[in-house]
Amino acid sequence: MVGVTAEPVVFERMFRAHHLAVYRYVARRVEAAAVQDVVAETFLTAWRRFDELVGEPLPWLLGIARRVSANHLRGRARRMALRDKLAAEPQVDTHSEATVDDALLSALMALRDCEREVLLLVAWDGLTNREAAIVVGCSASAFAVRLYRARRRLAQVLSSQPPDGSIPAGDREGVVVHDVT
Amino acid sequence: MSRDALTARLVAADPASDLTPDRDVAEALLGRVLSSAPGASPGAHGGRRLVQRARRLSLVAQLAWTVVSLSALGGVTTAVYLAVFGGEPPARQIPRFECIIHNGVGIATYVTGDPVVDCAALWVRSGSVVPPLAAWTSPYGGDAVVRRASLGPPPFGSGWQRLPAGWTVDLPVVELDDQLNDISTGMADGDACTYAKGAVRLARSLLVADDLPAWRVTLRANNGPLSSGCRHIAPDVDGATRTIQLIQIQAERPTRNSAPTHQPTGRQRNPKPSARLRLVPSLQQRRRDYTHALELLLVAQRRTNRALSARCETVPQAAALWTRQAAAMGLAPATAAFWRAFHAEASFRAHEDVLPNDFFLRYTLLLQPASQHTGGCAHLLVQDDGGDNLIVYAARMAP
Repeated sequence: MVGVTAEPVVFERMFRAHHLAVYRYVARRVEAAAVQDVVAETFLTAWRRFDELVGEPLPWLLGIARRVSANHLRGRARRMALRDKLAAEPQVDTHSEATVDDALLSALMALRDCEREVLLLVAWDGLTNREAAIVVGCSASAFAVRLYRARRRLAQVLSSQPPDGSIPAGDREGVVVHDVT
Repeated sequence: MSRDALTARLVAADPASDLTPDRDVAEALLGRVLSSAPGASPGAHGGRRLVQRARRLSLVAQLAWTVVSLSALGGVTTAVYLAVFGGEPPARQIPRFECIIHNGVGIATYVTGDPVVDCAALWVRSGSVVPPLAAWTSPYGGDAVVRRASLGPPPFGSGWQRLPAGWTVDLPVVELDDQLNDISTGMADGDACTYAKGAVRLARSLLVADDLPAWRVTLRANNGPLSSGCRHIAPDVDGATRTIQLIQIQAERPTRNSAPTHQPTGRQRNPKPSARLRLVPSLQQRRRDYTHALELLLVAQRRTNRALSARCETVPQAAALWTRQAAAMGLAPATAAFWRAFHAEASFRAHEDVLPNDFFLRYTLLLQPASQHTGGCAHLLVQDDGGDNLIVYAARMAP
């Protein structure tokens, strides 16, 4: 009897502790109209697979959110660039009072998805290397290497930008959008 | 650009850093998720994993779900009833109710007997505007649950039934149940043992004190003949037949659950309460903090009880003496104001894993009013529940 009643209670605690982080993670990656659906699908999947959870719940949840987001993007906006995504997100824009760093967003757009992902998991989602490695499915040391390379690449793109923040043509042409699954 | 500057620039560019989801939508989602079938039900190994998982989960999640534990011993009768007989206790004897206020739940005892009215009073005490509330009961027994009417039934379990407006418990019966389960009777603690004659005498004295002359007391064993030895005795109050049934649980003689007697380390902590928060520490650190606080509480318990042994005090007087003693050692009660201030913190409202800095120097003080009927002088008892909840009882009982 304890097990039958404990499972929903434990899941509920996890939901309440991490719903906000999952919501923000998704909001950064899909258009506003789809955020609630992707979050819902994430938690429904987590509930179905709850017995598989081992270790910290947040990286596990973000790993699911990442795959659900990827499925959504693949189906509806496979090659949507980050700038376009942000422009299509009135929910995020109207809630954020931060000054938009166009040059940085342009530079992020010039990165490959996998590079951008490792940077944002740390900078925006606030994960440690170990936690972020769980999300993307690699070892902590491999993640650290990817993060180092992504930072270096971002710095290179930023330093090569013209003053107006636009992306050099060469970099734009070189962008390859990868699925994040 | 340096690595730190680049990271700072990235962090500052986060478009969702202050984005907050709609709370009602989140609640609706949780209900929808939990009402769907999980992928795998916990089996023999799943149960153990569940426990391990529950222990790993952040403390703040538990905290958000247990705000003020007004009665740690509650539900003993219900639990024993279910264990011995199965089924549910008589409907109007639901011993307690859970009052859900925002993200927190208080396990509360009745004042008027109407769970909706009593929960509304707790909303007011918490400083919130009272929304329309509804009370629910589960066919599997346990406490009633009172939550916003707009949220529907609780999102866990199934078969919830809404209690009609104006429904009340049978308050005299519930109070009698509370008295029998009061820690000072010796029957409340699952590890305590009581001799049959003493248990019957206690039950009869309560009936006299409560002016319930038509009631009777019966005694039976759950399995086999009655034993003359000291056994755990579970009281079962049945308002329908006006009977207190004392059930002697046949098992090896248990030992009294005494608090650890290890000495404090002498490590000094900042006794000043602080409104500042910290991230939830690691499990190991929480264990250390909890153990340290427990040691301080046990010292305060010893000192207070030593003073109380020299004079016979009432429960409120003993509680006042305790509060002064505990304060001198840097310990403070976790009052409603303490929790209210914590819940007002932006980071808590954002569901972040934070705790008040002095969380482990806070205890929950429970005065046992029912023990006024059981005679004797008041003393203090610190309960170590092995979790993160430090509870101190003030009751009429031997130290």
